[in-house]
Amino acid sequence: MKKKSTTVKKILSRIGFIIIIIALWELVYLLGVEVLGLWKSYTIPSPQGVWERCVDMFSFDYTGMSIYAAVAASLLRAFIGFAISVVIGAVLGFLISKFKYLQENLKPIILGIQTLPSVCWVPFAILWFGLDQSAVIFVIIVGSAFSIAMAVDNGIQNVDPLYIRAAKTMGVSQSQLYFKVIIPAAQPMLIAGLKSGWSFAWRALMAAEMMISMIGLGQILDAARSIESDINKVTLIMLIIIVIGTIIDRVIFTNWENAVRRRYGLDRDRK
Amino acid sequence: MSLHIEGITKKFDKNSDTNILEDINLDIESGEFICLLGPSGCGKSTLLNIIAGLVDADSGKITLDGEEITKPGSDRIMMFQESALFPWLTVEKNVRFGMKIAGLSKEEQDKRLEKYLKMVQLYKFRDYNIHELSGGMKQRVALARALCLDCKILLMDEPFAALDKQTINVLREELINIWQQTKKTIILVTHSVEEALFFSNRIVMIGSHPGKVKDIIKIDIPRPRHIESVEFINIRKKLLEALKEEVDKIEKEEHDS
Repeated sequence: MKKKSTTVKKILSRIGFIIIIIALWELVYLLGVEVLGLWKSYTIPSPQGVWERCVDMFSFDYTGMSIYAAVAASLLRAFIGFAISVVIGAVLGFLISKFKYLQENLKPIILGIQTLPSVCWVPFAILWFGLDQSAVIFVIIVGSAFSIAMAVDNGIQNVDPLYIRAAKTMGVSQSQLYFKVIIPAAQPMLIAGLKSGWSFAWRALMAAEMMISMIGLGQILDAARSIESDINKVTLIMLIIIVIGTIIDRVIFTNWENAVRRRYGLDRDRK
Repeated sequence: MSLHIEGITKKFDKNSDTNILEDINLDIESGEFICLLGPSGCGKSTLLNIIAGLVDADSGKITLDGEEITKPGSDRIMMFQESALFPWLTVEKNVRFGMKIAGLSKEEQDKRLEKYLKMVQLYKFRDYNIHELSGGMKQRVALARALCLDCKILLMDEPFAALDKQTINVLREELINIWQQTKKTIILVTHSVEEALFFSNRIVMIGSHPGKVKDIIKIDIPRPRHIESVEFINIRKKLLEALKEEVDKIEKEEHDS
């Protein structure tokens, strides 16, 4: 019971805080744009304007580019790109952890490539794949596969050697060692890797959509400024991108991570 | 079952000429409780790992019932200072793990699971997660997991070293009972003279630098043994002196270098 009431309290306090932010935003808008005239109204969004745009775009008789189609297109691309990243990342990470030669030579290069923001791959993507779906997916993959590979490698490397010795003394084969001991033991780190891989994928997707102009949230965002000059719409799309990213991160990855950490007894020291 | 250890030598590392273990010879018979006693760093754990097949010796060989040991196998189960239970499995699934690997039928698994978890008095806790158990309970589950595999030898590497005094006393009694019930051959590594005296049919003293069999002492104190008994105290005194010599030797070498 006590636990429940504290969660309710927490949620209420968070909603309250968001209301405060919106109120401040409205205040700054009123003062800066309408009272003092410091800024042009088309450069500063207002809470009311964003809300109106929201109602407008989500209604089914909206005549412009459908927000539903855009969200669906973006999500589909994100999932395809992420799924391919997971496969590539898992294989690459496994190979790096397995072969010392790759560990010593390939890993530093991957770590180096990873410092490159994925949007820098867009020129290559366009040259190789044209202004096409696959160009966007390519950018997602280079944006997230390497980080997943590093997490897989780290996860495998950090498995407590004691588990491996215990399993060996019970006579496990090499494949059993991987599937029944190493992968489960590395699971908390693997999930953390998927989670950061997802956030890389989501960011890469938005950057790629803005530049490659495929139907999607990124493209609507870019068009809202360059074609429609509608700052409220720009803000609304940004908020939608934040909300979707957060929902997937929280609902899927963080919940999964916490459940596993709890089972493994890894969260006892927290709080 | 008979274990035959012949001329085992293990170098510190490949290119080094210092030996951790030098020319270890030992024969162990079925049902014996053997303790390898020595100061820390004398190589007694390494010897246990070699018997387990987890570490290769540089020379010499070990045979179990005439067959040379070259790799780990479920006929020699090793227990460690930490329980090495898998935190992603419940108590029951941990105990089943080895049996599944060994390909036992479901009925046989159920039978042994019940028998041995009851033996270590944890059958009620079979659905618990590992992190919910105390240190002593974890070691008991690890023991049950080992017993279920019906190994020829149980290898124990300081299994009580990470536990508190009360728990150690309880577990020692339990281990002796289980040993008497199951008639398992047990090789236990310890640096505690008391522990060695409490358990052993024979104590194998391992000297240090290099690790050699310094002495093999047959212990005839009748069971159940009591730490306060006169015989116990007498032998303990002698062993402590011998052990101290070895500890001093290590200390001296560490100061010299």
